[in-house]
Amino acid sequence: MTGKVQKPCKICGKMFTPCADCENDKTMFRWKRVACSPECAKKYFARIASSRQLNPENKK
Amino acid sequence: MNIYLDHAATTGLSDSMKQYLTSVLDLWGNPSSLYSISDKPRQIISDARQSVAKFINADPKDIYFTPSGSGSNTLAVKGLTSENPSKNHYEVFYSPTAHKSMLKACEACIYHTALKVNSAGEIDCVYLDDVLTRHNALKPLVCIEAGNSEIGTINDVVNIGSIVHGHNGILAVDATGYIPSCKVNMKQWENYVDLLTFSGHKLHALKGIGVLWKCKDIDLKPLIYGSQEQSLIGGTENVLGIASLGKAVEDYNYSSGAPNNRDYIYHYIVNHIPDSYLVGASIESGKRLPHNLYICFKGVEGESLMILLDLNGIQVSTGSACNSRNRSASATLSAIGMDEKDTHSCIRLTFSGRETPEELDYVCDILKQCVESLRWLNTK
Ligand SMILES: [Zn+2]
Repeated sequence: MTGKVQKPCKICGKMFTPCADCENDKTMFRWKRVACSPECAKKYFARIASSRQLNPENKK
Repeated sequence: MNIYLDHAATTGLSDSMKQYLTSVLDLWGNPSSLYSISDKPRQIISDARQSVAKFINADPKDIYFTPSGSGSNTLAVKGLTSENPSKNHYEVFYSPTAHKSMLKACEACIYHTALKVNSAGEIDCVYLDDVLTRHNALKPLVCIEAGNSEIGTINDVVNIGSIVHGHNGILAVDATGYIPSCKVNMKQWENYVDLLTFSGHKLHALKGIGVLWKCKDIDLKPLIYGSQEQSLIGGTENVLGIASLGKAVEDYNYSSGAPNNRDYIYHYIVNHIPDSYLVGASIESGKRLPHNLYICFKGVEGESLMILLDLNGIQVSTGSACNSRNRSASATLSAIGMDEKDTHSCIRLTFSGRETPEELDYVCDILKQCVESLRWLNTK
């Protein structure tokens, strides 16, 4: 049954099927738990960068 | 700032290359035709073959152009073993860390056995000798990579070749990962290697062109039926790709800067980023490709780090990927016995040697920040 569960992308809202192992692995952050694509993952990182300064460009 | 540190994935074209290839675009004649508009394309192929032969110190007659490095590997393995499946007279022994094109071609053979590698990724020569001593009456074909394009470990081709030939076997060597940073000299290897392959686009040529060097005594079956490349690779020649490879190898410069730049980043990481370690052969061993750095950052997903670095203008690669169905550890990392937990926490940096001190400092700085940020996200 793994791989059938769908969830919405935190960026674009599109439903996607995350990797079951990524979902279950709570030991580290995995981009596929939050975003449907690398492009959305980049937007996710950029979005939280402003608060956490993940992106040094946002420090300036 | 944009810093490309994935030269093992592919390389770009120089301005002079683009200019040259633009001129080749006008030479559209079929190289096989006898009329005059085909003379130049035919000459380009002949010149490129000479240049490639000179690049590896070989005879141009032993150079075959293929569609890619993967095509060369497939031709090497299937060309030898596909003679007649029911009378397959080769037993294939292969490196478990070989490129997928070689791995899959070997696994498709009727009789195949994976070799062993040590924790650094080097072929276990004691096991190789032993398994070849115990093998059945079939002729052994041993397939290895000269240098692992993922973790950067260099194999001792001469020693492996001695063992293989000592058992009357054939050695096929994939030099795709090796040749961009280590010079190949077939005069030194020809007594040990029977088939050698590499790819053009890792050497600043176009995609879509590969090379097979073949020892004269070896007979191969075609990969694609036709009349070109001595009937091994049919199809009208990729003149543009061949031209690009000819020029690329003429212009190729083995940069002495790559190991220095690699070492600079490595020393920064071990001194400033905790819970990180080098994967593969040590820097000091001399058994690592000079431009390769493969690092595990514990508790950091390699793919997330790659994406975050890209967001900051730095391109690297990661070995293990996952898809919507499952995560699959890289075959290389599994073969060296890496802790499964760590196999998804690695990135590969491959240097050109032309990185500036400012760029290197920027990479150090950003790398540290990104690793820290992703570890911080683990706590959220
Ligand atoms: Zn999305």
